Amino acid sequence: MMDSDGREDRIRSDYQSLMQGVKAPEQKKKRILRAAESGRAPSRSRGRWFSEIPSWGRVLYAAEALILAFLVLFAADAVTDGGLRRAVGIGRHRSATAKQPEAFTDFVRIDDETVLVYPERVSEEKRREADRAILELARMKKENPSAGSWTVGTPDGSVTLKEGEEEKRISVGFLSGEMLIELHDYPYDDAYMQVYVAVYQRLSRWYGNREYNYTGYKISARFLAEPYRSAALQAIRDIEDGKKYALYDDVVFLEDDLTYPNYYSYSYFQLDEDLLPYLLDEEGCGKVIVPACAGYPGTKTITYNHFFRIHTDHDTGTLVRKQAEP
Amino acid sequence: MDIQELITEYSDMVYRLAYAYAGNSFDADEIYQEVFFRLIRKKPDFKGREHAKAWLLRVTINCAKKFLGSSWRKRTVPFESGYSFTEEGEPDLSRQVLSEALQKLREDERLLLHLYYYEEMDGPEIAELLSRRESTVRTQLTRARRALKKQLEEDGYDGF
Repeated sequence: MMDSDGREDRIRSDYQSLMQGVKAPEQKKKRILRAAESGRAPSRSRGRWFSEIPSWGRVLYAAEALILAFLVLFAADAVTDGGLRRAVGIGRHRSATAKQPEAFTDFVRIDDETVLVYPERVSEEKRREADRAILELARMKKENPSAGSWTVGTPDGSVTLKEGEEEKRISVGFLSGEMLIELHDYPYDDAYMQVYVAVYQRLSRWYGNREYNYTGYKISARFLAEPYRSAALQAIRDIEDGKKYALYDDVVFLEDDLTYPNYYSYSYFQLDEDLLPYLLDEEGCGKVIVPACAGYPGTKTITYNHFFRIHTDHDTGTLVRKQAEP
Repeated sequence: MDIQELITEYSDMVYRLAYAYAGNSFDADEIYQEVFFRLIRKKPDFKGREHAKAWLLRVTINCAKKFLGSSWRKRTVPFESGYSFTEEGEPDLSRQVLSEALQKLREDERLLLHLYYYEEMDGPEIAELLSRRESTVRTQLTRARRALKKQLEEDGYDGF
C-alpha cells in the first residue's frame, strides 16, 4: 500500500501521462490556422451572413419568419381539418387510447444527483400551508413528545397528522422545495427527525411509482453506470435550466418531446421498438436512462432525445433493475 | 506573439482542458475550435505569454460550460464515453483505471483536477482563474481529489 504522498504523486504522474496522449486534432488545427491567416473566424452559432445583419434587422427578420411559419402551419392545418396534427402521429400509435404524460413543471434538488419533480397544479399557497403544518407538528412533538401522531402509507401518498381530535392530511408533494431540502438535511433534532422519517419514508415509497405522479417523482442518476449516469445528470440539469418535462410511466420527456405533436406515442414507442435492444447491460437488464436516436416518420430528420427509465423498489425507495421489455 | 504562434503553442493545452472538462473528444473538438475562433475574432492585446495563457484557459472554461449547457448539446449524447488516447499502443492498466475513474466525476471536479494535476496550478491560481474565493477552491479541490481517490480505490487502482 502506498502512503498518502505516494498516492498523490502516483496520481499526478499517471494523470500527466494520460493527458500527454491527448492532442489537438491536426485537421482542426489546420482549419483554425487557415482562419487565422484570413483573419475571419466563422461563428458557431450563426452563419456569417446573419452576423452581418444589424441587430434590429435580426429582430425584424426573426419576427417575420416566426409570423410566416405560424401562418403556414395554421393554413395547412385548417385545410386538412386538423389532419396535419394527426399526420405526424400516423404509424406511431400502438393504441389510440394511450395515456397522456403528466406535465410537471417544478422541481426540488435533493442532492447533486437527484431531483424531485412536481406537478404544476400544486399552488405555492398549498405548499406553504403544508410547510406550516409540518413545522407545527415538529414544534408540537418537540414540546410534548407524546402529543400528536402521524401516519404514512395512505394510497394517495399523503401523511396524516393528528393533534388530539384534529386531523390533517398533507400530501408531501405539496411541500415546498425549501421544506423538502430542510427535511432532507435535518436529521438531528428528535422531533423534527421523527417527522422527517415519516415524510421521507413516504417520499421513498413514491420513487418510481407511477401511480403517484400527482404528488412527486424522483429522478436520480445514482446507481447508474456510464454513459447513462452522465445522460441522467444532463437531463437533471436540463430540468434545472427550466426545460419543461413530463412523465409517462417510467419515461421522462424533455421539452423537445413536449413540443412535438403526439410526442408520447412517438417517443415512447420508438423507444420500445427500436431502442430497447441497445439498452441491455451485461446482465441483460434494462438501463434506466437511454439516449435515444429517433427518426421522424415521413422526413429525413434525425433527432436525439433523452429518456429516463426509472425502476425502483416501491417499498425501500432504492433503485432496482428491471428486466427489459421485449 | 501573433495569433498563429498562439494557436501553435497553446493548441494542445486548450484541447486537453476541453477534453478533461467534457470527457469526450467530440465535445472537446467543438470547444477547442470555438476558443481559437474567438481568439481570431477578438484579437486581444496580450501583455505577455502568461496573460495569453490565462486568457485561453479562461475562455476554454467559458466555452466548455456554454457548449455543454447549450440546447443543441443537450439534445445529443456523444456515443464515445471515456478518455481515448492518441499515444501509440494501449495505455497501461493503472492509467486506464484512472481514466475511467475520471469519467465518473463531475465536469467541475475534472476541471479542478486538471488544473491542479496537469497545469500544476495551486489553489490561489485556480481561484483567480475561476473567479472564485480561495477557500472555496480549496474545499472543492479537496473534495474532487477525495472523490477521485475513492473512485480509484473502488476501481482497484494499482498501489491503492
